[in-house]
Amino acid sequence: MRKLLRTLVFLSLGFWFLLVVVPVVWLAYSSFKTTDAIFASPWRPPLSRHEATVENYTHAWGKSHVSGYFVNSLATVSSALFGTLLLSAMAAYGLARLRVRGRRAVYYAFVAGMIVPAALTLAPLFELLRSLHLLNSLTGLALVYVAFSIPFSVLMLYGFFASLPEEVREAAVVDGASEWQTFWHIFLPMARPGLVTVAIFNFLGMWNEYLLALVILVDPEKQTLQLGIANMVVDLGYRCDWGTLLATMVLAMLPVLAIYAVLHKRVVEGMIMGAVKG
Amino acid sequence: MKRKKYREFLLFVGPPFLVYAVFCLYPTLSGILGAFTEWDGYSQTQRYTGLANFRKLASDEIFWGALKNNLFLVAVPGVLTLVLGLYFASALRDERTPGRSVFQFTYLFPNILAGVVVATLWWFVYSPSFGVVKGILKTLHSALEAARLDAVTHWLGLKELAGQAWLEPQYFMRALVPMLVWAETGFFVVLFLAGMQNIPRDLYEAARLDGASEWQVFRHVTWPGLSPITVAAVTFAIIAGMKTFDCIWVMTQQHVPERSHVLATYVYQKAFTEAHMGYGTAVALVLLIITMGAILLAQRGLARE
Amino acid sequence: MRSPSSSADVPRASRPPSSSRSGSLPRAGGTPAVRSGHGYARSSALLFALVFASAAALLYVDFGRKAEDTIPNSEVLDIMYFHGGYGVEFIEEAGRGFEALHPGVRVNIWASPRISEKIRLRLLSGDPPDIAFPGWGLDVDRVIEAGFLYDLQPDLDKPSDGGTGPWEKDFYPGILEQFRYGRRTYGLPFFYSTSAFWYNKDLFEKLGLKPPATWEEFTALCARLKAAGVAPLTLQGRYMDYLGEIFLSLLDKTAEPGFVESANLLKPGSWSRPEVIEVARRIQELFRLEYFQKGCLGMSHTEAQMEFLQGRAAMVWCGTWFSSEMHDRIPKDFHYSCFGTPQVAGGKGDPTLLMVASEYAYVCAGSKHPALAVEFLKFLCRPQIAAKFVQGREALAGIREANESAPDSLKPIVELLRRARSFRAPAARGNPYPSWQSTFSSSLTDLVTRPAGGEKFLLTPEEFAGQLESKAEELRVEKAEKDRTTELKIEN
Repeated sequence: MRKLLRTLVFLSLGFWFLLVVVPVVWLAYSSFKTTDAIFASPWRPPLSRHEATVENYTHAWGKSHVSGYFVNSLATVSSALFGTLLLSAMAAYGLARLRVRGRRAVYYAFVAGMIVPAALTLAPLFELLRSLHLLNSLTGLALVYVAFSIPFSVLMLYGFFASLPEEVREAAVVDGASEWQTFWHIFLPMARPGLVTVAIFNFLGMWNEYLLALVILVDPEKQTLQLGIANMVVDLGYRCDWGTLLATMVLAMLPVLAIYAVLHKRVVEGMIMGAVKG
Repeated sequence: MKRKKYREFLLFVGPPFLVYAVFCLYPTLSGILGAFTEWDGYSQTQRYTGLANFRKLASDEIFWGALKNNLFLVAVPGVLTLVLGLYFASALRDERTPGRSVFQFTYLFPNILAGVVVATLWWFVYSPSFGVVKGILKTLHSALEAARLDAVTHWLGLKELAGQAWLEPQYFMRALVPMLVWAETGFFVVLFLAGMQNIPRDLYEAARLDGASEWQVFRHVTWPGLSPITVAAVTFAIIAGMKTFDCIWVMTQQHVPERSHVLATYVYQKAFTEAHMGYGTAVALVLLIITMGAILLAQRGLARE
Repeated sequence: MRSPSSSADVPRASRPPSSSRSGSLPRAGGTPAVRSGHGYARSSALLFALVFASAAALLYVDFGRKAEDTIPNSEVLDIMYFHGGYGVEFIEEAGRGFEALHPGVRVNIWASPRISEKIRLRLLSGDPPDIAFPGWGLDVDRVIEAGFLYDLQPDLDKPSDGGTGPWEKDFYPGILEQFRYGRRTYGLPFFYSTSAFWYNKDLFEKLGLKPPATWEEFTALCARLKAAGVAPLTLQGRYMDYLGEIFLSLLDKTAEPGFVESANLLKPGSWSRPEVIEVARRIQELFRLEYFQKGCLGMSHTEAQMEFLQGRAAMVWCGTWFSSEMHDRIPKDFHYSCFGTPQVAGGKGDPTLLMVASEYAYVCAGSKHPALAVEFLKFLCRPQIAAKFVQGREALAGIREANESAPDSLKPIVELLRRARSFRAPAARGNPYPSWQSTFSSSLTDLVTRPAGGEKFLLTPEEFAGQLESKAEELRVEKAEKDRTTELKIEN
């Protein structure tokens, strides 16, 4: 009886596995089929010569401007990521190590930002960026991403910085190092695991983000990858170009997949910390 | 000495706080205030209207519909993903299960995909032109017919469903459930697994020695041990359900019919499509309050257990 | 920031005390220093390179490209264009033609199905295009009130290129009035349309049916089609405006002339009139008898129109842009034509009345070259150029002469236009109640929707009329209040 139960459980695990994997695999091989082939026989992998094509990718990359979207997403996210890491580490260090009165209040002020739903800030952000002439710019979007990522990153890094030994810092001070040097050369490298986790968590969030980008970016040249995909779905009503859309989705998934494959454990760590501390 | 300390503090905490305050705190506070104004997107004037927006909200059918949809999206996918998450986590905790690491690796994958990508993928699944869902339903219908389970068929309304375009307003919310369950379950599996790994093994040993059955072990060792994680999971499910925007926006091709709105899409529609920025912000404020209220309620309710 | 090489100095000195005591922390004190020197310096350098690269890319995309675009001695005409049923080929070709005639001018066209939102955002951010073709979705009256558009009347009074008489006379009567305030006119009606029932000629011939002249003939026709196993009608259900048009065109025939206009202006009592209830009953009956295709309420416009083209539905209500919109997807041996809304027995309306609409072009007040923009519009409106659109795209233009070269499928409509004694615009002039459109659509949806598995509709015709009248009252009250309260000006 036990055996039967265990087999059933295993079958259910296998079923879910297939459910998760099949659509993604389908997406991957269908992106190499022409749109007609996709419509004619949606399930068949492109085994025959006249069905298989790399055209979807070249078309997406070139004519459909996906290369531009990719660059936009990459530039925005990496700049925002660096900004977030640097600023959050600085703030976490300052809050954790510098015994200043009122630092509790500042800490709570930072962390409070995590509750903010993006929807509430849409209209004010639009107005704010407009008056700063940062509307419709990737720089504006990157700044917004940094600002929204700081609360959680500070929260996470605070723990790291708080747990590092004080003797190290004292020794550095004795050696005549300034606070900044201590931070930059000692504590930052020591907090590297935390930084990596925070970096991954933020990368995923920013790469996949949609709503803020929708509000802030207007011109077609400035669109990020996710905006591009959503726009392509709308265009499907007029230009039946499924092949290009599938190829674009695969391109959008690749960085995320790469990070997930290599740094799987960190991703899990980040997500768990995200949920528990939130 | 003290002044130096303050200066250093400012050096470290100042720039981050500045960026955060300008681009996050200020818009939030401005948003909360803006909920009390009416603000036509074209003219440069903002009129203070007090509670007018909220009064309008109270009688706004679309708002209530959107709220109901949000609550539906919190409850139904929430419960399903939590239950499935618990189930799969329990199954994977057992070290005798072959291929554990493979399952763990793949289950989380849909969760890290962008909402836009997931929605587009499932839009294809539901698209009447491809008929994946129709095909499945038709097969199910024939299977049930062959097994003479007509009563079941009728109860599920399969015949009607098999002929429908799933994206019709009446069915839209329900159509979202499989997609959300598909995307979110992995996260809960991972979460509960981590929680389970924190439960000391001796408790399990002791329970085994006492001759407890699998179910009793779960109920008396695993479930209580998981309670902080469960609270986190429920909180997460509430936030995710209330925040939904991307998938609905994409699946309706950026043109959301009235019945299919959720609060976030309604905010965008009011503030940006219809140029009622003040009203839209008021809806967003209510969204925030309800989310926080729901989380508090849930945490209190679970703490009592 | 310190350069990487000097980082090695500081930690090494502090190594002895820390490493002896702290065993717990894996990387206490010295480890980074031990690894430093080359490894650390290299990874720091790499990091800085990456940061620099991403910042550079960011700034380039934001500010670099604009500078690139300015080719000396050229003027750029920025056009934001609604990519819809009329396609982009015509406007792009016109752009190239204009460039050929005006060396040193570049025509830059940004086309998108959701362009109206983008136009709004660009207007708000102080960076307007030169010409806007928003299609549908932009509240033009509000935009005009806020002063964002350029007055075209002076140009309309003068002759256009190579024509005699004012430019204004080239257009159909009545269509310029929609966005005319006093002596100022803002919208140029290039794209012109009316709506009709498009029908499958082959199917009709097979069943011996002809286009109906009266509503009774129409419903009988639907019954015959249903009996033959074909869905009589399909609908672009996701966009309730289509059904709304059917409703209003029926109301045109049923009620006295001018009624629909005053109803759209929310004249008190108009929506609870018996004529409204009668039309609602007729429409609901079409759904009750299941003359509309199953699942149509979830279909987009292209989906429903495809159902028609693939023979699963015999008729579909659509604008005269139908052939243009479905251009690439009309099967080769598919024959179709159109007929106008059938007459209603005892109807008090003008039987020749047609609802006509236009997708206007606007010149933005903030444009840097308004004269050039008007030149472009005049170029578009040359009868020979516009005729290319009419023939190539099988749709109508607002320039009368151009429609004379309309293809066969549109000839019935062109004839109806010629014979029409009066016209009605789809929206009330000045659009004083911008939210009425969605309010009406929402009630209309409830009129024709049955909850999952239910038999009764969400609203009866009487309830429908009552609901509309009370919502109209709310809007009237709200507007009155808004007009009374004072404004708080905020510095910009």
